[in-house]
Amino acid sequence: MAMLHRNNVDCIIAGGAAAVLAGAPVVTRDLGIVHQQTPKNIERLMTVLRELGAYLRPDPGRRRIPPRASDLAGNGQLNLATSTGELDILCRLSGGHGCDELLPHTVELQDFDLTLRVLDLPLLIQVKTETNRPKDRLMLPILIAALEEREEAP
Amino acid sequence: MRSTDPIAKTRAWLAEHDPDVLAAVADVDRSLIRESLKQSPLQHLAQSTSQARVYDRLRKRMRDKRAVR
Repeated sequence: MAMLHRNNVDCIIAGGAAAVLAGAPVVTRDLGIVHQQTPKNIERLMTVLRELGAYLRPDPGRRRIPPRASDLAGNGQLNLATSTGELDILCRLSGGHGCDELLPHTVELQDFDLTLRVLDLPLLIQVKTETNRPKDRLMLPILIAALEEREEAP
Repeated sequence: MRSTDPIAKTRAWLAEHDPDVLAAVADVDRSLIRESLKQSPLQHLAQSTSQARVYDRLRKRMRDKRAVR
């Protein structure tokens, strides 16, 4: 996260990490991001990925295939292993939401020396409802309760 | 989705799309949420990822144990 910030990568934190940053008591092992798909930003993101030694996962053949810039310009999802943990790069969220469409549904968090743009809880709940995967449905009641607690907090 | 009352909007959305999930909200233990909200976002994220690493290590140890048997 610090490296993305340091390299001025325009991206939105989504998925489990966004839920945790919003205060949901869930466990997450990876960082999910939706990046701005301009050529300059993809170049900056590629620099970070190279520094982190990122490669596609799962990697049963241990070939350590690095991601390509063209992958980051598409519509798919890249699941990567890096030297600092798992990183999921989402070109679009479910429903086809790209970075530009998501921006109005984000909050800016400042913590330590980092400024992070994070998907807000209402949209995260909507996205997880749309994906309808069992693991997302399990998380939904916690996210809604977290949203209610946040709204009620002084 | 964004409105002045995100909870009402979210509940209305779920009532239409996934009522079972909405019903499960009442069963959530909120004490953990209140504890998390006392931490800074990054502190909470660091705690969550380190917890995930502990679970991964335990899972691996259990898998290795089963493989030895």
